[in-house]
Amino acid sequence: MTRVSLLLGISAGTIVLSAVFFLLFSWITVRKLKKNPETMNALGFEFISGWNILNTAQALSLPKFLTQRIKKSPGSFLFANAELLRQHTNKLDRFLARLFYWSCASGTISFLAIGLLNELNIIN
Amino acid sequence: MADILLSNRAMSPDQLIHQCSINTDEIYDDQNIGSVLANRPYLVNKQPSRTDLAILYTLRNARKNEQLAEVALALGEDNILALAELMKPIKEHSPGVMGAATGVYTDRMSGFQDAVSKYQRALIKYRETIQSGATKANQQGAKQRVFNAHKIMQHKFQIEIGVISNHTRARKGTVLSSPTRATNIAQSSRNATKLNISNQTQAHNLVNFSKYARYLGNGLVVLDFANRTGNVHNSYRAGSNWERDMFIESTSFVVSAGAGWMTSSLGSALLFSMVATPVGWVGLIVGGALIVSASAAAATYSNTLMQKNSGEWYDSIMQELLLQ
Repeated sequence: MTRVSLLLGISAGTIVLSAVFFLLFSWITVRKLKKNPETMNALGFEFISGWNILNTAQALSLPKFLTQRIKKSPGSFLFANAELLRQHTNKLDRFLARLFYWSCASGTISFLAIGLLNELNIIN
Repeated sequence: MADILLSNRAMSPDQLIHQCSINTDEIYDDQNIGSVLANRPYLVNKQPSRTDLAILYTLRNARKNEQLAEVALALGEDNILALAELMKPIKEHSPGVMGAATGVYTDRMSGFQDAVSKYQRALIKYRETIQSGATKANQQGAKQRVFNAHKIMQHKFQIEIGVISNHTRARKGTVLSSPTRATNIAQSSRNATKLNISNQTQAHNLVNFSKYARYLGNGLVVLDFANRTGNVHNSYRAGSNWERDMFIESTSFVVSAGAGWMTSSLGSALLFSMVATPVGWVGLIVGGALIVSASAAAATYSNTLMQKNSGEWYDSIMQELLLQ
């Protein structure tokens, strides 16, 4: 197995692993938030079913200065309300959200980056 | 400009004159049957030009001509052309992107597509109830569903409907703008329709549209899954290494969906946090289109990469396990 293939495999594995965290997160946290009348409408726009799980994870894992800027932007209705969600979640919820979001994000970014760098013959 | 005749049942010359006031003499017929066959496109022009013939053969080469006739009859001639045009950019992506349908079809267009397809399904259903001679109550129920589907579509996607309606020249309003007009078209017991197609590109769009028309929206994900499991099942039946294929297909699905998702999620977060000044609609649409295409590209690309590499990973994982 080549080095590129190994690196790609590790990134893809991270994404697959993040799918497990996704399930845990949606079972433990999002289900709770969806039942809560205060937060059930604060989970952002649902493009397809399940999309607000991603919104929730994003709101809980992006740094505060970003979520605040998003809140001020005209597209804020697409995103979950980060402040409200922070008040209604505990440490475990936020940990799960970050675990899922950043493992999926880093896996995706590295997977695409390795593929592209390989394509451009920068690494091989 | 080619006039294409489409009928969903075979017609004798008499019926043809009676129903569409077209004389058989006017129809270009390379086989000289004298009557019109069901679901087969014909040219209404005795001396067709090269372009006309090209259009005709493009349409005839479509695998599912019944679907083309069905959709054309249910939607009306003007609308099917406009819809086919609008749906083109998405259709061009779909075969490659289907793996990541979950990630890619999250943009506004997919919502619109979904709404249109629901509306269209309701219309086709209504047409079927009318033709099967169902009870009045059933017909009324089907009609109500058409109106509901139209209301949802109208409510959410006014801009897109405006774009389509600008393309058409219908005087009585289009199927998209008026559900009454739509149910009237569906109710009319027409069996034939005449499409006015000006070039081969339009014919291509039409063929592609009819191919996918019934599977729009969320159905794509299901279709993709079915496609992938079909691959695994085939290799199982062929006695080859189906576990390996299952590994390839399932990991490709997860990774390409994840990549598509993440790209659009990160992309939109960046878009909305970077732009300091309030963006107008144009900015939003351009930015949105960029994100959607980036997400489509990410998903398609991941799928290709996965298909290429994951077999190798499976082999080495299995080797490690067996050596233990």
